[in-house]
Amino acid sequence: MLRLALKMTLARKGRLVLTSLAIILGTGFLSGTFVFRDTINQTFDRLFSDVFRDVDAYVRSTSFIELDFGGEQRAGTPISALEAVRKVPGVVSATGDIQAFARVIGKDGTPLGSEGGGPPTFGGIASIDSAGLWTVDEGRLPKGGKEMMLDRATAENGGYVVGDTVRVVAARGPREFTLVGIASYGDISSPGGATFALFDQETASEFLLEPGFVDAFLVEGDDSVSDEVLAQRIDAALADDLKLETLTGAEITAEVQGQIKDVLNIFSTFLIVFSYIALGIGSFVIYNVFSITAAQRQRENALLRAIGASKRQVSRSLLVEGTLMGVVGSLLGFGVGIGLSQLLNALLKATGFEVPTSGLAIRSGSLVNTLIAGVSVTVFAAWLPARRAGRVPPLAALRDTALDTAGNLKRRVIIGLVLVALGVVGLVAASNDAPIQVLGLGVLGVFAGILVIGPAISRPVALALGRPVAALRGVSGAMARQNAARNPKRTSRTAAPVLLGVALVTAFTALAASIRSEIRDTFGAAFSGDFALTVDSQGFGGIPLSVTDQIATLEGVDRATGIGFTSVRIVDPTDVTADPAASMRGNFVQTINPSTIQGLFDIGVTEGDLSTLGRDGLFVDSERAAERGWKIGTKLQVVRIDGAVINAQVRGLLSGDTSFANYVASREMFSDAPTPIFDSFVYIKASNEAVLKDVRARIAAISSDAGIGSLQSKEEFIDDQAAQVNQILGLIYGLLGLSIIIAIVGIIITLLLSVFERRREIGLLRAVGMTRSQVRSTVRWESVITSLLGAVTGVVLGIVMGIVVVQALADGSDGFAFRLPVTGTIWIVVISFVLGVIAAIYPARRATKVNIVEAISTT
Amino acid sequence: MTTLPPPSSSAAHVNHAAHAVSATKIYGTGDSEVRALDGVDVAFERGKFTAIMGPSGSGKSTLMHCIAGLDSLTSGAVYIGDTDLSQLNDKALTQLRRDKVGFIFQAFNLIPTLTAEENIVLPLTLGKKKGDQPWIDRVIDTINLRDRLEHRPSELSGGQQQRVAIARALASKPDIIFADEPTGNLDSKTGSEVLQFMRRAVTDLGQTIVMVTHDATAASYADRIVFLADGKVAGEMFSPTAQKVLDYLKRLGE
Repeated sequence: MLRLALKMTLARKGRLVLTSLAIILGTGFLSGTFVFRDTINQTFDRLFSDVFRDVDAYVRSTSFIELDFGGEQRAGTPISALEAVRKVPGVVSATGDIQAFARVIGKDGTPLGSEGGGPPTFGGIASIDSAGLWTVDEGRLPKGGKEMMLDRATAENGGYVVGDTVRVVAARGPREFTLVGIASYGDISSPGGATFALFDQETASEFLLEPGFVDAFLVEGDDSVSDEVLAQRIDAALADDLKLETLTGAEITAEVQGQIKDVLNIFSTFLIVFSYIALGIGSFVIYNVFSITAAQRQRENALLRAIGASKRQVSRSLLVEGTLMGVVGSLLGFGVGIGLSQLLNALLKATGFEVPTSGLAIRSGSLVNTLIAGVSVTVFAAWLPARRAGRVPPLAALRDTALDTAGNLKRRVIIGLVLVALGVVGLVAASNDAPIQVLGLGVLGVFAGILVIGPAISRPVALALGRPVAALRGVSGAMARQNAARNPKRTSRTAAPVLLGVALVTAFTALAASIRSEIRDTFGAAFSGDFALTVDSQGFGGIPLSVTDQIATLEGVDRATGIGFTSVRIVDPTDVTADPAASMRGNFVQTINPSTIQGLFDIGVTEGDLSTLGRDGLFVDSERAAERGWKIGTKLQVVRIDGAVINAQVRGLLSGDTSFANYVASREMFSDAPTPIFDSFVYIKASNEAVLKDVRARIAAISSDAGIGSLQSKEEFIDDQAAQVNQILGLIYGLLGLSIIIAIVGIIITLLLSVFERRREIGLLRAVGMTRSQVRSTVRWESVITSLLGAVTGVVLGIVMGIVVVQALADGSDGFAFRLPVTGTIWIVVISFVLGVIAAIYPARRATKVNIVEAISTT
Repeated sequence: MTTLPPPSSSAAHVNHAAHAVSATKIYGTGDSEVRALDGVDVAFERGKFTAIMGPSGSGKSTLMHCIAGLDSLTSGAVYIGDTDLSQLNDKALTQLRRDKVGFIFQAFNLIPTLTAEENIVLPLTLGKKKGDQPWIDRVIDTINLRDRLEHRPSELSGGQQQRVAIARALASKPDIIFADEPTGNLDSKTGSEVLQFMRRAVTDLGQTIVMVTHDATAASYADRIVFLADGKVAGEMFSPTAQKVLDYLKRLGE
């Protein structure tokens, strides 16, 4: 029987290819992300082993704070300790290393490198000590406070050559330097698309950090002792109160590689989740294909049963076929994935993240994972159709074609509604602070319910959607309508990927629209200034405080205030239950200037008075305070990155609506910190309406002089804040794109199978006078109706989910109401229409190629 | 036995609804070459019911397909009225089938998603034509289908389905109707009913029918029988009876 099953599978290559197509697509995305992740990881592994090739020991501060989004921020290392390191026996050279914020301004006055989401812009120490990271390509090393060096890629992008004057913005504000050299980092001109401005040690320390500090020391040994022994010797030579630690070259290499991997993994995990979703949606297509082909082979299976095959044998032969297709499809998918990973690479390159590649990394693990995922999804999808095939009565061999019915409609609707109801309960619970998994289960429940109900409603909905088509397109429209409605199960399964994608997008778009208008309202009320200077620096650098103060003194400016962010550790000395492992976990603090912020931006103080903030005061989000049992007067310790401990006190509570972090402190708290803080927003109020235009020009002059920030009017600023929600929408649209691709493939496959199944009918129609273009039109409109079926049910479902979530979220806060994304919805319907037309192109062509004589002669 | 006078190849045969001139159809090449039609000359008179008979593989279905514009000849020519089918492209051929030709097949004659009435007027609808309503009504009454118009094919018996097919073939008042074993799937009683309806379509409604069959009884409803063997015309018979046909076939087989 096994051999027979294999033979029967291979005898129908067309069907094998069609089914495999769905598997190839699903596994292609998956393996593509695997290969992409491995390639990038390998690249950075090699890059950093290369970069730290000559570093035998690495000295740094033991004081650090873990950041919320991974990574850490470490205190500076005093340059004064460098001499002690140099004297350690076995040390050949020791040099400071800095990687801090610095922005190179281009010749046209605009900063190089993108603000925000792009690669970081670094400032550092130019050193070619054998342990240093840079090699000079051109010119010489900078010396003194007036000279600098650039990495090759940045110099080329900015059109700078040796001898030019270059403007750079860093912690101490903007300055001008003479470019004396151009350097390369390892073997590449610019790692990861970042920009580098390099100075001598003293200038870098003073301009980028705090005078007398660097990030770390890079030490090269003479190889007389092992790196471990060298590191121990250095540790011993350093005074304990310096709070420094020494790592070996191998340790720091592994740590940096690990950190990069963590960051990259967030990205690739995201891609892999998308791929699994794609595979999940793809499994619908696979399931649909198996169901259709099993139905089409009913007579064949019945014949097998009639001549003595058992139910199990028939089922098993289909499962064997499924497994075989899973293997073939996954293997082909792996090949497609390799191509896709290259495409991703090219895409990243095009968006500015140049990733140095060191060849594709194709690990056997990726292949195994892809195979396991692909084969199990396929076998899983083939399971039900295979069982159904086994149940075919032998007598069916004598009957004509199979009837596809939706089964017990009433039972379907009931089971489906129960699932939907459970899902909605999950959604509501998730909106009321239940864990995120509940949200996932809720969405799953709603979708599962809808998919169960699907076959029961697809016929009437398809008929209703087809009514205008039938009216407009005459007989081919009428036939398309009937064809779309004739196999309710098939149609609803084909429309499922469209439904899933559209429902998710509609729900999220509705949610986003509601959040946007909420943000608009709260910000509109909180912000009473005229302008905002903002920098989207993602917590790395920003507007130097000196620039903020400079703006405040401008003519026509009534007042200006800055808001920034930094990381600290908040320690509750009375909390004995604190998890020591999490003790390094940092907290985000919003820094403000309490003397200027009042009357300019309302940070939502619910209790306390901002004027009491002082150097050691904290305002805390009221929810957080309630969780921890803090109230006004509670004493807390604030541990800065440099390790300084400030005995602070809670002086007020915040509503959390317009503050960006759980804690607010005065910028004074950080005035003596060796790691400078920056402002991310500067809010400005003009002294009167009449001078608005002049004031704007003056601020613009300063910000462009500083080469930083974008100046916005109040309206623009509020729009911009609201638009941040759109970034999340971008991800959701990515998901839509993916489900569109799968949906198209699904519709193509289903139509091809339908065309094959109906070739006699098509032959008959052609015989009695249907033209080829009428045949094409029939297939096309069937496709459009199917696609619209998915879109319309998806939109309805998405709106319902949106309303449920928004209502649940709005609980308590007024003004947060459901908003229907009208244009978005219209676009979705238009896209689905086009999708239907595109998917029909090939199947329609196949339909016109049906040979009339052959079609009508087959009995 | 009379032999068929070879029709002249160029002139329009006013009294012929369709004719073929040295129609030749060859499948395959070389050793596997099969001559399905080997220079067939035949003409079908207007207003007559003609049957084409012959053993399996005699080429009778191929001849019908070629004359009806469903298949093309390797050489020779076929005409519907005075239209040379080889001169038509696919679109024109489709239009010709729609407007001038009617079809009745052995099985699977109807589109399952359309009602009986929609199936009957299908060729007209495809051509975006209204059709001659009194004529269609007359056809429906002649075929005795008035009470079945709203039914789908799956709700009709085999005989009723074939009657709907006859009505469809008649609806556009075609120049000629081709029927391919129209009773092949029916029991003899229903079969004879269907044949009677076809007979009436010719006698009462003045239509032209060409029917391919291997059933002597079915052929006996025709005005004339053309016998085919090995892709060639082997003879013909006028005013046949079932017995005469059986006798002839017996002799032909010897």
